[in-house]
Amino acid sequence: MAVLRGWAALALALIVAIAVLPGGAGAQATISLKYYYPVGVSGPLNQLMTSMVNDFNRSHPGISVEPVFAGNYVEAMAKAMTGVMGGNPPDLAVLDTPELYSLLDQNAVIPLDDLIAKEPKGWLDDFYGALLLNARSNGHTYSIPWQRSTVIFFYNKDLFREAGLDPNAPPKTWQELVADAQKLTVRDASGNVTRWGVEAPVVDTSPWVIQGFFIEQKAKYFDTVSGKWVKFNSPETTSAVQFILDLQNKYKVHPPGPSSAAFWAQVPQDFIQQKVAMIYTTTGNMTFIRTNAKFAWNAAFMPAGKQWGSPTGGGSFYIFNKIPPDHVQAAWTFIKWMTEPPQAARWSIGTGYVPIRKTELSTPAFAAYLNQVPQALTATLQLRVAGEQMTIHDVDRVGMVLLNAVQAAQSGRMSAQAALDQAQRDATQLLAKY
Amino acid sequence: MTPVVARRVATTCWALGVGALAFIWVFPLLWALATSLRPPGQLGSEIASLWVHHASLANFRDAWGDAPFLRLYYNTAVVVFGILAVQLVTITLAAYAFARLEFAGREWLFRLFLLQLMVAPSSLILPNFVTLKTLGLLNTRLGIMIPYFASAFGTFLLRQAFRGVPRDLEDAAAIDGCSPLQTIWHVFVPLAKPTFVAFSIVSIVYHYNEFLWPLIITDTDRARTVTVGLASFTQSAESGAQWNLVAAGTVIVVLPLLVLFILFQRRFVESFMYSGLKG
Repeated sequence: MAVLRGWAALALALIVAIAVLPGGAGAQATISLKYYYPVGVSGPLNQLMTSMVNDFNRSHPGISVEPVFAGNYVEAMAKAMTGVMGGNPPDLAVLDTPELYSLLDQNAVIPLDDLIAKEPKGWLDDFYGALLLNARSNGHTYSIPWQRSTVIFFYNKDLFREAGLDPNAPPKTWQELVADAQKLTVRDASGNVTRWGVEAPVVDTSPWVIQGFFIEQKAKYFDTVSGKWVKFNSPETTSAVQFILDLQNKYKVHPPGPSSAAFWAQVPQDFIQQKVAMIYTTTGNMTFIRTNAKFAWNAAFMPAGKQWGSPTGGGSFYIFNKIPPDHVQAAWTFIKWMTEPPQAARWSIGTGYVPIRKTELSTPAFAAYLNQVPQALTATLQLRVAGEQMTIHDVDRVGMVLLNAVQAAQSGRMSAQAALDQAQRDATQLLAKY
Repeated sequence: MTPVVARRVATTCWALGVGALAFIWVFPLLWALATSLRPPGQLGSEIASLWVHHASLANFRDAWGDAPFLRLYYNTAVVVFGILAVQLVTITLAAYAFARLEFAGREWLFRLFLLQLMVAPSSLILPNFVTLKTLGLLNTRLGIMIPYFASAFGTFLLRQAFRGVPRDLEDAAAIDGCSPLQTIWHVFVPLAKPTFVAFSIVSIVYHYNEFLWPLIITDTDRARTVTVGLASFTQSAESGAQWNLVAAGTVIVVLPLLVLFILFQRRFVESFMYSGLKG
């Protein structure tokens, strides 16, 4: 018993000694950060992300980032929010950028203005402006772009040649798109279509591609400052939806019926099987098309309406609220390191996401990549004319309202105007409480 | 047609019909296997075909390399069989209580118990998360298992089976001097064997497939299960799906369950025939 008490006393003395020791080498503990990341593209990306984080940990002795795979965007958001509400938030996470207001409504993330202000002047300006549009609310910046994509237009050059079109002149406007699509649509003797002119998966699990058409019609379809209202039934949005209906029903150059998640997945498959000559899809599909297409193809801007345009998509870095100040600083160090041009280029090339900053293009790795895949530059150039993806309160449910309206119009149950009027009423009701 | 020929024709038709149904059932598995063996990137117009030209294990190499599958298999096995082991004890005792013991409010308590079946599991994620955090069980296998230790479905199933046990057998056991626990062990459990097997299959498959709950409460591969490993390279929202890789991952994940089923197939089928439970 006496021995035991002796041990206990010694242990106590040690604990006290360690606790009162002034900040020596031992007291400078490593800061451990929990970092949630989602995976939005197929492929062995765990390996790439883990190896990048390991590189960071090796070069930053005071910080240890633990990368935690968190599912897809929806699941990652559920995991992060469960942590926030359960009092166990991560330190930082990559989340779907338009979730900004859902995060703010739970007081989950912090503004990054003070951290950005301490960086050299112009640090943030190196990022593409279009990618920062939905990082901002009421004058504050809440996220830093990471894995971002945009809608892009692919066309089959061989089929262009076959149809007597110039393979180096993709359609530049909606009118040219219709004219080209009519020449590219092939019908058999009984009038059945064997190859479509164009496929645009305007809505999938969310209304994404359709937003490109809205932007091209200069529609002001949501509150870009504080995310409190939408305007789905303006003449501009209606004309965009009507244009899709015309492609399907009037010109018959696009498969009929409502667009869906299945159609979204089908479109790139149809393209490589030459069942369609021109498609709208994400830049993330470029690698798939490059490795599978047995014909000459090219990427182009979305043909313009009243102006050029395309929505951005994908995830950005957020830093969470209610974590210690030294964790905030360490998280910021990590974000800055990850978005440095060499690391950002490594991620873009490994995944197919667009470059996030201008100096990324001049890194040796990206220059070599562009040599191999010159089409990748098109996506980057289009970022200059890209618009903001809808980022508002309750974005998932309001997005679903718009999605249902577009599908209702495509299935012929309602006119474009009636469907969008209905969507406007429903969305206004959902947003009334903000 | 002679009766013999007629019978043979009928048998052949029957075999063809059953064969066609079996093929429909097994097609997704065959397709996953064929697709997983195609070299990465090779897809094109052959996507729906079951024929493989140049078989390659490259997809398996990629899939296997993206997550520590051995570790994940082990975790899944611990979680699935751990849950089952505890459930078999809790549901047996609960079912016996609801089937045979007389106590005030038994029927009401049982209905309350069944309400558990109506609650969507995803709505319990946050409260369970908070409880586990308090218990210090976040990021552990035990944390994944605990919410499932009691099963309303199993209790209901087993209570029905126990109610079918003749009173006489119970009385005989009592005359022989069996305690309630001995009666359960020697009389009720053997007679309800098909129900136990049926419930075990449902429980194993459900917890083997479970994804969101383990994903949310665990952070490291020390505690994570195979479904979480599979999800790490099969996402395709922002790109085209690499079906060859997805198929290889799927084969890796379903294989143990498939082998288990084939090994015990005869016993499964027998137990269902006894219990009269189909599908």
